[in-house]
Amino acid sequence: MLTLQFVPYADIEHLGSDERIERLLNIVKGKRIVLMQGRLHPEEEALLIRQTMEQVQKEFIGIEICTIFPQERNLQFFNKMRKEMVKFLVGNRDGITLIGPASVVKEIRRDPNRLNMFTITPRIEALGKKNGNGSARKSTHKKSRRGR
Amino acid sequence: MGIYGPPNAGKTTLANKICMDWLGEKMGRVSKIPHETREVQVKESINIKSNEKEMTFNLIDTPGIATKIDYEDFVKMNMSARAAKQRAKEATKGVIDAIKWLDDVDCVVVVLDSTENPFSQVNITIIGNLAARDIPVLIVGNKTDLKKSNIRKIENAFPQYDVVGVSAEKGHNMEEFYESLFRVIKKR
Repeated sequence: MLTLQFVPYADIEHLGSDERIERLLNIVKGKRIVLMQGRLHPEEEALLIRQTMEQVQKEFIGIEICTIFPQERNLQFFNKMRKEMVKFLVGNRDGITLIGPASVVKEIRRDPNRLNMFTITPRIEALGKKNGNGSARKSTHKKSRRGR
Repeated sequence: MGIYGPPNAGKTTLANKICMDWLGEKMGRVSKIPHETREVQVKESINIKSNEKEMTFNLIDTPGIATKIDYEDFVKMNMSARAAKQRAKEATKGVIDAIKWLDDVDCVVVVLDSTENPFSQVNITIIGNLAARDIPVLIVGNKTDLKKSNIRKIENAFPQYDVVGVSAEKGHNMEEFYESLFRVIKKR
């Protein structure tokens, strides 16, 4: 069973970068997939990767992360300025961010407005072991989320 | 000038090519197994010339940035479990060091494998970080000698950046790479 935990932006907006990342990583280390409203600041994304690497061990091999957000390249100057001002005041709530444990989520492919999530199916692995087939291959299945 | 990118994109191959072109010596070892470069490598005072322009820089070749490192992936590539675990441990440290070095670069060449999907979060995170720090970026689509290479896809993914296609291994299109480098730095 896959568990997606929704994290509204309001739940993390009052936190500092370190605490914010710790909150997200704790969910992921509990083998749940974070479905976060909005996205982290690019520097926080780098910090997330850095803290993930610091915590890599046998049981936690890292994360898969993907963000999907509205394309802003065609916005007119005034609208762009207004959006930047809103982002500055209340954070970037546009789009969504998916963060999953790499032991569960094999890959998330971003195809500008669509996310394809390939997961490792533990049930089949377990079945393989139960049948004495230690070499049972990890299988993947695909979930699709359409954006705007 | 930092060279950044995901593992196995050809960062060290490009660094070697630049060093061979201007210093006559290589910078680091390359391998088909990811995370061959696990420590930041520095070559000082590289002087390059293109179209009567000249510049001198220190070249920083960084380990590939990844969000996951599983030693079992190295075992699958015929490494012993012990060597694979050691490589994984060093690779995680390499990623941390590469991110730390972002504070110390004035210009970055982001090397992407032009046969792969450019829309990966690692690519977006690296380029987003450089934009947030106002660091000039040149995107290199490497491995243009391979059939699956698609530079247009990289250009579409990052339309606001200069993109140049090269084959660092074969030395294809390096002249345009050096010209683009001067252009990007001049914009700053």
